[in-house]
Amino acid sequence: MSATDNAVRAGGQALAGVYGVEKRFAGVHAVKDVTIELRPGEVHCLIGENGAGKSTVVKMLAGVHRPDAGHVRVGGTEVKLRNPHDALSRGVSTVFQELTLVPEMTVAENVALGQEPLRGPGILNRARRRQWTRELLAELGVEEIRAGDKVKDLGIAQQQLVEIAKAVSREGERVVIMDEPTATLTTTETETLFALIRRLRARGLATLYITHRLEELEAIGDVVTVMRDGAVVFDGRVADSDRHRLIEAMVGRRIDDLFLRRDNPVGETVMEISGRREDEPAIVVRRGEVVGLFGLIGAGRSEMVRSVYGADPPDGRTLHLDGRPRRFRSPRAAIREGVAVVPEDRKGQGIVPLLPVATNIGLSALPAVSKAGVLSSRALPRLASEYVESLSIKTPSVRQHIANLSGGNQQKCLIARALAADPHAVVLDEPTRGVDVGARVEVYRLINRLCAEGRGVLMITSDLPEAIGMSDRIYVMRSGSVVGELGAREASQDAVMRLALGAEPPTAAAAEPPDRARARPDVGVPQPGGEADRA
Amino acid sequence: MADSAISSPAQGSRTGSLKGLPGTLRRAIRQQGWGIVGLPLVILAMVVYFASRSDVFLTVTNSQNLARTLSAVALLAVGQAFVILLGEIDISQGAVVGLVTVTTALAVEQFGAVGLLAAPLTGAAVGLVNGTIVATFFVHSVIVTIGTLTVVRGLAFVITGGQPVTGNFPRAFTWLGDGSIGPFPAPFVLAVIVIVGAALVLRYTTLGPKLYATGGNEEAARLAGLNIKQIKIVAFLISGTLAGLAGMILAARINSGQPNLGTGLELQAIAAAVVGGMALSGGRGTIAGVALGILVLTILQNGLDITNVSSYWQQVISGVVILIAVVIDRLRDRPRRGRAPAEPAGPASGATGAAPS
Repeated sequence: MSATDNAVRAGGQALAGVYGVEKRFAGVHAVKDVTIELRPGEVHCLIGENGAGKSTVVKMLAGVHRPDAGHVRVGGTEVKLRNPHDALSRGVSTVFQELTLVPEMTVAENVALGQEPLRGPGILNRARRRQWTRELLAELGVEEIRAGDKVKDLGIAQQQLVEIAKAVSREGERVVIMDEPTATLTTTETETLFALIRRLRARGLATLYITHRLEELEAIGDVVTVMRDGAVVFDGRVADSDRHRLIEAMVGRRIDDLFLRRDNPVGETVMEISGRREDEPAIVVRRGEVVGLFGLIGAGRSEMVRSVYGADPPDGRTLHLDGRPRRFRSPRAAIREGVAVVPEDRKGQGIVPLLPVATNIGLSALPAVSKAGVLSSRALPRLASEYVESLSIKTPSVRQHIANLSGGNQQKCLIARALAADPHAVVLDEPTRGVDVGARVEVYRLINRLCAEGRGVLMITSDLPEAIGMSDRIYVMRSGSVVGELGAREASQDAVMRLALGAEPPTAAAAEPPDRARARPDVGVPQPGGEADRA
Repeated sequence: MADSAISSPAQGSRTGSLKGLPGTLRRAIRQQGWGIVGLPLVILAMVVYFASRSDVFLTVTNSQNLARTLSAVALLAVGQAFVILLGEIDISQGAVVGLVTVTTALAVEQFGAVGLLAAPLTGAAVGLVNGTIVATFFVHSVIVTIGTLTVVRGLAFVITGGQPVTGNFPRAFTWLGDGSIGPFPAPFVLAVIVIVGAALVLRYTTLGPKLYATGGNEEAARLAGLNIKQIKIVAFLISGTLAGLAGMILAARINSGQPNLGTGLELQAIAAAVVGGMALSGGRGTIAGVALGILVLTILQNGLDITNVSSYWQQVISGVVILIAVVIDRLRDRPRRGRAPAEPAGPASGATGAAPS
């Protein structure tokens, strides 16, 4: 894609790499004879479905795992990385999927952690630290994050950017590894990140970029390696790689169309969420249809829906179920009346990792599998087995701990949990976030099945192709309000995005700041001394 | 999240090679880890050792004595288990024991055997207060129960003026302390009933999954439609009620009400639960494990007593055993996920469940 940069790279000695590495976990051959070289000024994309072994390769480069065979090289010499610190000190830093920031500390404190500027032995130079962080953030183009902000007050996406800033801040930085950094980012934020990566590339750093989104690969990658079942099944220059071949390499089969059309009849209105003002359109969900709720992160979609189904205090909207107004004081009440929810943060709000698949699936349907509080001996496993079979959840047994399942299968378990409560309306909050391509199709198929069964589906999503591909109608939110409704036919990517950004074409597009500014109303409002006070 | 299909190396390495073991045992180890055989082995080793050092240890009298001693702590530990499953803790148990000996002694003196009801009722009342405050105001149970501990202990002294409650108690009361059913001491029978009952409740009633789910991921449980407040209150209610029963059998044993009785007993109960594999962070552990934990600590104490180890050294040894047990438990648990420590620290999974985005 970026042929111009390649001249810089040409003939460059690899800065780091893995050579013929192997890794087994308890008999599972996780990584088989993988060789990947990272060259200066080059963005190397590593793609593959979940479970393909990408993260294991990353961990070998990051010093988390040691290869069973083969070796790791950094700076042209073979090295044995004993721990992540080892890798860091050799100039290889990694942004893992799990963020490693300390929530109670400020951005500056986090970024400088372990490399604090000092006035003297053990005496912190706080002013220098703040200044240094501010310069770093400015250099990376993320000035809207303030050095004095506490990390816990930032959104997930902003935390991600801080994490990256921290990773690239080290002295002698040569190699940056990013493990699916965009999983929680919106399009605009992704652009910010890409700009950042391009700057790193221009500085001659080598980047290993793990993703399962092909669009990103095309936008940012120079070289691509595809992994499947632990082995490299494709590698080459991005410019020479055809998208269909990459997909086939990833999943091992053809995917004709990611989004599957429905032809079930649409019934009467099952759920309606009123606007807070006269001019705010109500969200109407009818039986048998998928209604998309699109917006950038911070637009308030999850917040709105959470308060409507009782997870958060009411926000002034009214929910009508089958025409009757309802005010739920807890998710329990909502579920009882037929509104089920699959939450956005699968790990934090969805699964109970220490419980088996069966209990996780049956959690919302305990009354149905018990009498007077006593569980019937077979009902729960039977209920769970039915869903495992009908949703083709891949698990050795319903007694398996859910934490051992892949992301896509965990998600299917959560959808099964919602279904077990036999809801009229289902709210899916980012149902395919962190789910690999193959499982995504199954989730879509599942959504279509919900419709075919006459349930109404409200799908919150930040994935524009998904919103357009799956929805009968799309509502767009911005700054906490619903700002428009688009039918399937009028919903082009352009039209939806314009609504989401609030951009009157074409002039306002430039004037409008990124959505992040709107996520935090205080940004841009001068707060005298605010930063100094906190720092 | 990626690669979770292969991120369970520990499942395998932890349970390693299981060839040559009977099928049931193999399955149990695979599901629960080595802890399920570790504690019985420790118990067996202690029994063999103490039996070789003392002729008295394996006698019927000593076994009965041991069974009688462990009853009160067992009741407390089972109660504690319900609370710890939620990731909470009940520090007030020891004080409840003190108050209960007083209220029960007074009630029995006044009303005869019916007065025994005062024990579970007093305990339940304190449990209800604990649970309601914890569940309603989101205050951590450590501080809530330290508060009620102080109040409850104070009340015990207020009621009695600091004096023990003595009197002519009916046989039904004293029998609970020194009576027997067949060869089994009465308090031991009560403890066994409670242990079995608790295990059945966790396994066969909806309270089981509710407790495990809430302790394992509170926000997920809430969004799945569970009544978190009710679940927390019930857990503390059970802990308080069982503390009441423990107070009852202790009062019966010393045949009086002692306002300062039970000090520190809650710590023994917590230790037994944790030694038995309960995770203080919630969501993990079994009553069977807790029962084994109780056995380990009580047999150790009894054995040291019988082999004439000084009581000062007994404390030191008990403490060391607890530390070893929890460290082993921690090691066993650690590699279950590739990056265990990242989990609770993750910004998106705060226990308060602040919603991102």
